[in-house]
Amino acid sequence: MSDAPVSEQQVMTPITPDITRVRTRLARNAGRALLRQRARWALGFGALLAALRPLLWPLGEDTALYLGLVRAAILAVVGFGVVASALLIAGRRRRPSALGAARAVDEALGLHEVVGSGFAFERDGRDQAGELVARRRAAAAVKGLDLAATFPLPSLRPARRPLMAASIGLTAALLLGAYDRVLAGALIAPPTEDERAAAADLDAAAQALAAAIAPSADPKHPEAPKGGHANEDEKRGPSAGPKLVEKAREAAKAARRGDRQGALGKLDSLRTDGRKQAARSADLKAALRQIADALDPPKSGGRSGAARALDPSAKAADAMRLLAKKMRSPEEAASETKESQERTLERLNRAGEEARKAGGDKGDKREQGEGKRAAESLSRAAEALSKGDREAAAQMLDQAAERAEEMERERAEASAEAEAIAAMLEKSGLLEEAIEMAMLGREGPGKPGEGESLAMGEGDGSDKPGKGSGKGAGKKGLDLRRALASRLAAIGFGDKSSPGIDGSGSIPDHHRTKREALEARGAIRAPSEVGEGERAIQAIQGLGKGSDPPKAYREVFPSYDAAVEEGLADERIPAARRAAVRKYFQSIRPVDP
Amino acid sequence: MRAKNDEGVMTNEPWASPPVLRVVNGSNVKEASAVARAPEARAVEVAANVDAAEVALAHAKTVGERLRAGLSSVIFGQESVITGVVVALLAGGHVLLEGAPGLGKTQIVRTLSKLVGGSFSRIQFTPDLMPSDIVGTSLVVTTANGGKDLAYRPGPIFANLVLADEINRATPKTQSALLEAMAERTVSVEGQPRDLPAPFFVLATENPIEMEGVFPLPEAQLDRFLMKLIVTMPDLETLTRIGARAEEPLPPSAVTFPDELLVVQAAVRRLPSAPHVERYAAKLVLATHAEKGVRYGAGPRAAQALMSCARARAVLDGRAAVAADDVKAVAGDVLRHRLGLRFEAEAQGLDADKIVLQAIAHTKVE
Repeated sequence: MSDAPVSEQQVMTPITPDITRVRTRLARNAGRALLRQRARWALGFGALLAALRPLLWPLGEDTALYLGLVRAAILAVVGFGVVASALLIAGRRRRPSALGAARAVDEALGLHEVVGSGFAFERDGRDQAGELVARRRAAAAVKGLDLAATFPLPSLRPARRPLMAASIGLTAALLLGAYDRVLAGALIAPPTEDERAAAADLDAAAQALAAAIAPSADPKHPEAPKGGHANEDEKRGPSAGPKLVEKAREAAKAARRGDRQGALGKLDSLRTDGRKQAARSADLKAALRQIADALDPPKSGGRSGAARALDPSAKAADAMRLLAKKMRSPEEAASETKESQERTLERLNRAGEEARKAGGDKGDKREQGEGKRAAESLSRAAEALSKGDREAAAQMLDQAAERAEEMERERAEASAEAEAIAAMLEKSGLLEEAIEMAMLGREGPGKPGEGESLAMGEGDGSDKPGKGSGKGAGKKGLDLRRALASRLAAIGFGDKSSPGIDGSGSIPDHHRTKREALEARGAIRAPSEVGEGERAIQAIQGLGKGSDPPKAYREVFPSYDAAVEEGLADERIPAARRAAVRKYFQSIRPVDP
Repeated sequence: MRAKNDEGVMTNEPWASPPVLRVVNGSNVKEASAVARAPEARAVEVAANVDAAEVALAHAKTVGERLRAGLSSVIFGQESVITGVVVALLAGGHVLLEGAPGLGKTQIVRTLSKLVGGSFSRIQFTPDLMPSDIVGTSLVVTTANGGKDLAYRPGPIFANLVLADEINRATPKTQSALLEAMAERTVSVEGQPRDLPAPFFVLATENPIEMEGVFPLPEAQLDRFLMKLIVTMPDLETLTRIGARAEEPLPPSAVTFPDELLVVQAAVRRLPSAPHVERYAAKLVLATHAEKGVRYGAGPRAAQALMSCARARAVLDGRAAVAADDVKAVAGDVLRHRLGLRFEAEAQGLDADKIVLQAIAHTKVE
């Protein structure tokens, strides 16, 4: 028989479960109370994330501009949610103890330690008569306790003034977050019709270039040959043509999107790479010609190098095969003297040197590969010949001829592309012009009389001071470049047959254009580099008639003068040409009245 | 509602368990249940005990309310003092009243004695009062056969309610005679201890005005009083009512009797208190030491006094357990006379009441 106290459950109902429910409720209330108290932290963090959207979640080039606002809103919601959740969790951790919850019931019901004492006695298992009385009264007090009514949830509804302040702050943050340079530009100055048209033209030109690209030049092309040849191409690397197409399309897309700065940057890169690619055909032709000349020098009175420059460059391979044939010929072997052998060796070495130059750092991998292989074959041929092994020399020459034929094939491909590239570069120049005019606030064709033009020898504005009569600023800028191009061509800079200097005005002369080294190959192009100086389109009254230019031109010219001097000091300009360049710029220097 | 416990002694436990049969087993007498108690029977017993406890609590509350109502019917405008006196009475302690003459201190005790139905005595303390004047003395009496013998004559302290008026006017020796009796509940006369009647309640007064030639009670002696109540000047309305009363009020009839009062006091002592309330009382006492301006704080006896008075207050409110609010409510009266302040604090206008309020503000229940 046990004398243990009788279970109090036979006397009263335990209140611990009720107190546990109260505690849970109070935890929830504490979380909401803390959130209400510190709501500004959550809002502030959300607003901060929204405002930092350009750094945290920048828009890609292909992303719609309106998504800036959407992303800012998402970041605001995420930021608010994170801090609000943390506050709710922190508030819940502030929940009272079980005894505290019991005393909270006392406080809510206006009792004095009825529930608190009863809970304490129940928790400690105290069951004397007096304690049982207290526990019974506590059970009666919590019986049927309505938690929702007794402990209402704190309202999260903010007061009016804080709500207004939060709304204003959040709106400002969303606007900051939605800000995108391109979007702002597109809203303030949407793409003009000229820009759209020029972008469409550039797209079409890129499409034409894509069609002109030989399948073998692009391993990814669907018609690219598979197997060994494809492997060879892969070794050599793909042509730069597809990259140009991609860049052109990106530039057009950026222009249509309103991203003028981005479009200009892409056009600049396109121009640089396009020029390189366009020059590839001529470079290859020159290299092959040099090799052919080295193997079979032109005799005096025969065709000159300039004339030969116009011939197809297939002569290099012929020259090599011819020489190989001679190597195999017993008659030639018998009639060869030491001097002739030395001459042959010299030619081989010179040809090899020219081939090695052709396969230098310039050009794509394919060029470098073929040129170097040709140089290696020629070098081995010379080595074999010097050892007296004519047959080996002939074989090496045959190999060199194959390399030369490969180079010729590449030249043909590049030539086919060059035309498309030239057209594309022209369109890119037009697009660039349209963009710059839009940036200057000038409209396109159809709006006469706006702005002023600098027409040197051509164009308008010579009769009316300060006024241009051209149709649209685009045409006026075009005139300037044409004039400059003509001047440069006259003094030996530029090649009329080269793309760009044909009156289409697509020679780019804007800033960021790098000047390439000029080499005397017979065709000289002179892309210019213009610094970040001022641009002034002013009427030069009476310049063509020898009268004094207006004061504004005298003020603008010194900024260009410094650039000219810097350019003249550059060693990349051939010394023989410097005087002419200096003379030209002297001629356009304003004369003090 | 008295019953005999297992030893056959009459106890005051209102819910004492019924006597059990004694089983004599050799030299050892062990108690054993005569009947094996089934769980159901124990449950019934527990329920009966709980109900008895409820009844006892209700009864104690009723007695306290009657006492308070009776005092309020005679004494106007001193509700807090009346409540304090009743609380101290139910807690079984003694009260020190401080107030100017004529504020009803003597009337309170007289009325209380009528209400309780016990004996009452008033001792006016003067500087020439001797201890024997309080506790009694032995006198030479003539016996029936003409001889002489010593007979003990009890002093005025042998009463249920004792009013010790202007206790600070008597010498420390005389004061200690009273204080010793208050603490021991017995007096020793000629080496022989004599029990004081039960219940025994002393209400001592101090005149705060005429402080010249007085013997202030030392702090150690003050600690023996459960409470120190301040009798203040009544307000205008109360004074008007007092002045309008032409005749002395009729003495009220008894609302209880001494034995019943003992039962009520036992019920008060039995009132349970939760651990956090007891801890709170202890923290409050310790807090009096930490307050600025305190020379010495309350001691352990103060913690006991706090809980006793809190229990009595809870019973008066009809509650089954002591609340922290009860402790806060009685803290001022209980701790006021147990604190010593620094001179600087007194110069700044601090008093014990303010110190206690600061301690209450700085002490949390949980």
